[in-house]
Amino acid sequence: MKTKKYIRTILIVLIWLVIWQVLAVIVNNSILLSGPVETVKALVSLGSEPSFYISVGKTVVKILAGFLIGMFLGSVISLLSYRYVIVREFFSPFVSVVKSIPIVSFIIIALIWAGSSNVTIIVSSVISFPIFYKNLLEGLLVTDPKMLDLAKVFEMKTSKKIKYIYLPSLSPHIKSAISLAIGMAFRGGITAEVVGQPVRSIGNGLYRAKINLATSEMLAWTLVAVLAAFLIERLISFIVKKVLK
Amino acid sequence: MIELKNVSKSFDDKKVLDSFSAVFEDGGYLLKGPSGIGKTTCIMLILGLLKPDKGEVVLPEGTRFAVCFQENRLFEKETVLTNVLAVNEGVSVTDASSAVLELLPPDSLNRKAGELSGGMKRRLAVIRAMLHDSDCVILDEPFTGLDNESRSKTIDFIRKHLNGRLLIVTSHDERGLGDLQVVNIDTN
Repeated sequence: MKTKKYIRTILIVLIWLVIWQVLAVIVNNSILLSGPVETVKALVSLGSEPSFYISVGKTVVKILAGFLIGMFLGSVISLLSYRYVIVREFFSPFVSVVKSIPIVSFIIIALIWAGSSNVTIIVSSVISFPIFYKNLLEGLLVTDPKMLDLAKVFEMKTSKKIKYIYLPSLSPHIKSAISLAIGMAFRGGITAEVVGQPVRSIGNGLYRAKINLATSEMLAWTLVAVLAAFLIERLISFIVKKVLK
Repeated sequence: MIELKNVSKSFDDKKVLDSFSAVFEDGGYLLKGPSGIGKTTCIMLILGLLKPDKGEVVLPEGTRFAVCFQENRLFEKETVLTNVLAVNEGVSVTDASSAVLELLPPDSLNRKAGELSGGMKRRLAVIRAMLHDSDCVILDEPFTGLDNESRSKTIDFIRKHLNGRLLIVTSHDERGLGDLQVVNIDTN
């Protein structure tokens, strides 16, 4: 059953690649649209330079750091908001504002305040924070009050309450927050790099490809960003799954 | 001793308890009355999970309770054994296992609570409550969904594990509970 699903997924991806290649042949202009073959060639070419790996590594580490900071702050403040209504009321307008501010505004503010080398971390954390805050707070607020009454009567230890009552309630919210936040952090983080131009980064690579009108190279960098986001999301989800088990 | 003194409780506009008084001293009590009369509300007030609108609930400071709620309130994704141990710190795996096996089949120990039948879940909720170190055991409709044989076994189990604690049971059905002192909630 699982093998069948994998084969189907691979077939679907292949069909899309064929559509992409056919469109590239029809357009017949590599500046407007490079096909998958050219993109892979550009990727191989990029991969032959050590600076490529440094750029990818630096971007991934910075986005991951920002994501983890956002996750930590979102988790801690959601816990405090759950426990104390005054904290919830205090952070409610802040989170709403943070959620609705355009990412590019954050990028510009971060660039002014912290410079281009830190912009990726700041933007990724600012994007991740409200996602974790909202999801976790929602999970905590829907924790079954009847089970909490049970814990109260049986005088359950906090650690056991967390394990048997809070975590099962939070688990789907944590998973959905990770999935959403990692994708958004990568999008925002790389956008910040394109604007801020920190040396040796995926965003910088994308920008250079753009000014050189090297579309295949730009698509190759994009492919790397998508793959990195996918792998990091899988890795974190795997770790969280093990921890929640 | 637990005493309810002229306790009143309403939910929205519906008065569930109106100046209800009762005293629960040593021994066993059957809290009796038709469905919806306020038996569970009375239990929630004793447990401190609800506050009375009027009157007071008097009990010795530090009274420890064990309870089997009307709904089972089990950790559905955990095993039967974990369900017992999670709320019973001082109980060993051996003691928990042998208690479980008194009321549930041998293969149930490592089954997830969510996989059990309604009757088995009910018995597990009773086992968990009876093993809890407490001064007072409260069982709210503990025999719901049990056939005659299971009901009889469960009553024996309760008697065996009561160890002189105060027992308050609510039940529509008095069979096998003849020795309990009856507190009629509707005629109070």
